[in-house]
Amino acid sequence: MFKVETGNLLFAEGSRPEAEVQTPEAALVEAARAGDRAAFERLYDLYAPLVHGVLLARVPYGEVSDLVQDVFLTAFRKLADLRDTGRFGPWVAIIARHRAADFYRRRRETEELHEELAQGAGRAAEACEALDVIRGLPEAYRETLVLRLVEGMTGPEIAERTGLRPASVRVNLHRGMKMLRQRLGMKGGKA
Amino acid sequence: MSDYLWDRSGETDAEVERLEMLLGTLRHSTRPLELPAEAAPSPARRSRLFRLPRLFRPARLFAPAPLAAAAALLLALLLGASAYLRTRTSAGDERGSARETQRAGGDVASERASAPARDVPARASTHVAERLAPSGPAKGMSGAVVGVEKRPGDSTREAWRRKGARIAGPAARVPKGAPPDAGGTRAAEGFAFEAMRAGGDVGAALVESTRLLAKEQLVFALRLTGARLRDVRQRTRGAEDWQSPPDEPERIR
Repeated sequence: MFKVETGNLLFAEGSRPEAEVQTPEAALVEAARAGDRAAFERLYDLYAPLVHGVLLARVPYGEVSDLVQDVFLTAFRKLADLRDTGRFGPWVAIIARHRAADFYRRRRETEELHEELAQGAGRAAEACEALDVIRGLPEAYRETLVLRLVEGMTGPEIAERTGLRPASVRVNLHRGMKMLRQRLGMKGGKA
Repeated sequence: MSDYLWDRSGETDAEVERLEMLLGTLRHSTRPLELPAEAAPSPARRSRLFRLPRLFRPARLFAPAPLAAAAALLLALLLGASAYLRTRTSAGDERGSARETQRAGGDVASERASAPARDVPARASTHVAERLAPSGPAKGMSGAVVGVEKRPGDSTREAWRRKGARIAGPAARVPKGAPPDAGGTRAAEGFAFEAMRAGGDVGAALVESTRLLAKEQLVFALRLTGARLRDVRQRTRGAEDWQSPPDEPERIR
């Protein structure tokens, strides 16, 4: 059996010494706090894929785009609450996770636009089916896999933006991929 | 496992590449950020150092549960203080009573040397009466009766009997033929009530009056027993006379 590393445990590990070094994103956060909207738009460009992936691992595909906007609006308003300006990524990812939970609290029954996607293109429908399988995996695996396979981030990038340890991300990726292969009936999973 | 999954290095994993191609269609599109014009970062919250602990924030402080707990604590404190004060007061009374009793005992002992023995209980009760008197006992006046007129030639007992009769009213006057102590007992009861009315030591007054009543009952019981004994003796003497009359042998003959 696999030992699942929960999100909470992994997030607690994120106090790395390199976070203390002033990063470019910290400067952007400081500028955005001062009211520089352009600086915040730059942060959006950098972290929108992360937020999109975090949300896509939890909520229907059709809702994700609007929720990404909500998450960044909330982040902009609460930017003063961010204590460590070098950790904007983990902070905005937490906001995204809370927003996804809130989405299900407010709206229990949702229907994905599978039919529209199916009509639009068979490839998109196939993608949604694969996404459903990923969503059936444990939480720690599905978020990492979505960021890797959907958003196209590498392992180090995922670790850097989410604030997780690279080793944890590596383990989550490999264990999650193994489970996904088994569920999709791929050869690699049988080995 | 290949390194391709981790950082796209090394040999390409065909299955991973295929999944990337498939799921990449759901990737984040470059939709621009739409911030409302009025949106602005809110001012920073106060530092945690200057924030009240969660328990003492107004919303929590006036919640029903803390309020009820505070009320219960206050009530317990009030009850505790009340009980403590009551205990202290009664302990002080007991100490005062003990002192009075000791003083009374000392006076009685000093009086014993000069006064006849039958006056001693009266002196003791006099001291109790002194304690019960609203003005309190006069210190340094050993043998003097406070609040009682002592006429020349009167014994203390007589003085108290008059005082009792005056306090208890006409009903307490000693009727003709009544035992000599009855007036004194009623007088004692009378000054017990007087003490109660004056707000004195009610417990001590009741004890004293009960003691006097018991004494009266004992005297009455002794007199009754004496009378019965005399009666029995007389009857017995009569029977003896009947059993052996002096002239009976002559009559039988």
